[in-house]
Amino acid sequence: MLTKIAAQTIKTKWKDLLILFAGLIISIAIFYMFSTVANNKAFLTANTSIKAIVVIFIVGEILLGLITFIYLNFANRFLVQLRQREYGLLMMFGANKANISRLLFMETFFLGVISLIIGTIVGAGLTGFAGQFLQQMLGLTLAHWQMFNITGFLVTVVYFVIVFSLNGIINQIYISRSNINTLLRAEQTAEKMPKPGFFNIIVGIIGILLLILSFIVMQHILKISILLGLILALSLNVSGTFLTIRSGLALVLNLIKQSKFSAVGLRNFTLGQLTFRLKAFERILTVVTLLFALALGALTVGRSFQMSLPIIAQQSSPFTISIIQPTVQEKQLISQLKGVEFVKSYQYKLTNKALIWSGKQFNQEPLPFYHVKNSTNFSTAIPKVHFADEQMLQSKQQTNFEANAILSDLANGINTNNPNQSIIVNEQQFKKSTTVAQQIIIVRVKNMESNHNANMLAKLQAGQLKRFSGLKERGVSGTFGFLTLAKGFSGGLEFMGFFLAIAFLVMLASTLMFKVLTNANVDRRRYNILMMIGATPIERLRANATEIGIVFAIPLIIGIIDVVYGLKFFKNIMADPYLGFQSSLLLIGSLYIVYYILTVFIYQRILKKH
Amino acid sequence: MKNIVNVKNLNLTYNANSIKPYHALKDINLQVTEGDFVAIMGPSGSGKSSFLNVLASLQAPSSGSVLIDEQNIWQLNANQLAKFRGQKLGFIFQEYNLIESLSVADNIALPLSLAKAKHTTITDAVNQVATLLHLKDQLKKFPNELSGGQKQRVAAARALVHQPKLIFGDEPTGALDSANAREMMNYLNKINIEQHISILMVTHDAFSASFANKIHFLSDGQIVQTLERSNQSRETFYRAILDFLGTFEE
Ligand SMILES: Nc1ncnc2c1ncn2[C@@H]1O[C@H](COP(=O)(O)OP(=O)(O)OP(=O)(O)O)[C@@H](O)[C@H]1O
Ligand SMILES: [Mg+2]
Repeated sequence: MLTKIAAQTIKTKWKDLLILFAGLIISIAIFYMFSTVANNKAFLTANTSIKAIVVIFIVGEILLGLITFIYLNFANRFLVQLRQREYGLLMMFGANKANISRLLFMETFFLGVISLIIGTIVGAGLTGFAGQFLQQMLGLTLAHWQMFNITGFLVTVVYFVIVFSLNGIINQIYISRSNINTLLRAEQTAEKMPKPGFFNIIVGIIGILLLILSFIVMQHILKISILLGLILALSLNVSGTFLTIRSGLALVLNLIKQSKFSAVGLRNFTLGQLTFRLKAFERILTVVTLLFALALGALTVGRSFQMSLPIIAQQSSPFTISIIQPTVQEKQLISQLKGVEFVKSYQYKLTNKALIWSGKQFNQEPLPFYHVKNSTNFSTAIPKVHFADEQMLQSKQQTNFEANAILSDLANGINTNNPNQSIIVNEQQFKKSTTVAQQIIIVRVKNMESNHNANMLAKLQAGQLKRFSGLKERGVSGTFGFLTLAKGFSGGLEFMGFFLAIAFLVMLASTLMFKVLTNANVDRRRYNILMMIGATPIERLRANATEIGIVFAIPLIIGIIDVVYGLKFFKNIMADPYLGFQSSLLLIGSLYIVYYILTVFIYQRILKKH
Repeated sequence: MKNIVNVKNLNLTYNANSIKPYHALKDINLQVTEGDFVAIMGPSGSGKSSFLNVLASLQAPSSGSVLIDEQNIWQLNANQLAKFRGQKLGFIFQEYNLIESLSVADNIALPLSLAKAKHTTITDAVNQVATLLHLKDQLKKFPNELSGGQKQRVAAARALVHQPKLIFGDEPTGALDSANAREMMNYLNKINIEQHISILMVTHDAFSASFANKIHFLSDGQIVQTLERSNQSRETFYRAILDFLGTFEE
């Protein structure tokens, strides 16, 4: 009988459950992907130089697990809320608590099994897609990427079985603590209207001040000792956020309420609803704010780093690529490059003792070099290219050192076994050596990342790596080789940052969504009253969308300000931490807004239900 | 005299497309003249709430017409209907009571705020009805700080504040004890006489019904009897109702 009721519930309430399902499936799928990657040792060791990355992935997975647990808890509470009236009725008809908990357990169980099956399938698809996406984004091939991994799969199943069971136990406790009356009247429990007492006003003002103070500290964080500044900023920020949401916003709402502005239309209603809500939302909104800032911050730093790589690469060398002993095909490829700033060709001889260059050739083809900066400040500027002739290369000035560094770089590439023996000789000495002269070409293009150029450069690089196995370790000289190495090095980290940020956001936003939706049943009465006294359907939608919108906007606004100031901290370790801010905000912001719209949509559905 | 309510051949069928349609209202015709105070009584399940919901534009009928203040309400679209309700109708419904997140004053002000009335107009109107219903001292409180009787008076004040033509009540005294019920009915009576607002209410309570000047009895979705108070005193009318209910239930 109970099985029948449980199955019936899922059949008739599937529309309400759908959103719960979707959230569950996403969280299971992302968790699965992380487990699969974290347990794919071959991939991790092949793709990163840092062995510790396995630990990082495991930490990421634990974080994800924690947030999943919190999320499931809210989702579960939403499910129970959806059903408690019915449970109350069943109990009135003679079902006992054991029956009800069995029923609830069975519903959760059905839901769990179905979502676990779909979730892992979606997860495998997502993992495959993520691999493709990464290759596109980072422009590298991922060796040993797997969509399925038995350890990853088992970790996922075991973890979710545990989480579902824990939720089951929480449900049992909830049921055993409530009686028919509380279940039947759960929707009508009178919430108390918080009143802005003197104490609350003080607390609110302190909260707002603390928050502002934390931004000031972040602004000047580099002038304070880093560790102290970080601890100070963080503690000011967390306490400020909490107190602001707790009392500061109520203060603001109250001020608006006192004004004439609020008397028109449903504004007063919305303000009242919010004052009412914020009290119950203070903790979840604080957590969502901080984690939103964390997700946006992590993604921004990752993106900024990734985006600054081409700039750092450009700063690393005055030429794009060097081609040792170019073949006919390679010369042809070079001629196909677009936006070429210079192509220079040099002769060298690799003797037993050293690598020698004829000095005279540098008068016809001066060697490009950069001035070395002395400042420790990071800059995003591309340095100006200077050129050195024979005399400059031989002189004892600073430029000599800078230009010769370029020459050594080329020599290191040519002679990987015995680097740094690079000598400039006069024409006679060069001719005297019986070794055959070889050619090296260096090219600089305006834009190495355009599709066409990147394609050509990749072919050139692959050819060089194939012919000169010594280059494997250090890469091909030039900005393109630098970029390739750097991308490979940071790719794994960015990958994790990206998916952690997305996973965090998805679950946070759904947690907030469920928290908001648990109020919908209570609110239905209030909105029906409005309709009865003459509010049009549009006015109802507008009031509802505004109310939910402000709840969603609070973490968004405080979180964005947090990130804007928090990024200052990264100014001392990277060129421009704000480089990836726009694209990250666009991504995370749109995802968040999708959640907002979805919440309003479902809310409306519940309000309209009879 | 003008008819404030004019119902013609009204039918309501629940679950019309299912195997078991339920014919809740059957061919009802009813007129309420402007300024009347009308009660509808009848056994449980006779269709009282269904009838009121159709009149109050909360439930669409299956056929027939409902004219309120000479406007066929079921020809209006959702927006027009909302505006119409906001301008001409007031509601004292039990399950649609007060909004807990708003103060008493804001609760009462809602219909005027929705109509985008001026701030000063709203304050004046709220003070006026609050005086009438003895709620002056409660204006700053929130619903959870009020007694049951006070809450119902706030609901009445809200139904009244925008000077509607007609007030609908569904068991307006249902949750009140006899003293509070008497007080509530006295207020409704006062509103009816002093403000010339027509009242149509559903009640199962003969005492409350005795304040009306006309009572329609509903049974199985049809009006089976109408009692008029005419010149009788309220007490005499009350006894007449009880007498009728006695024969009716047999
Ligand atoms: N939404 C609905 N769907 C199907 N049947 C309904 C619906 N609402 C009411 N009914 C049926 O219509 C009939 C009249 O119901 P209504 O609520 O109008 O009765 P009532 O006279 O107000 O009764 P009470 O005095 O108990 O409130 C009842 O038999 C009821 O079962
Ligand atoms: Mg009824």
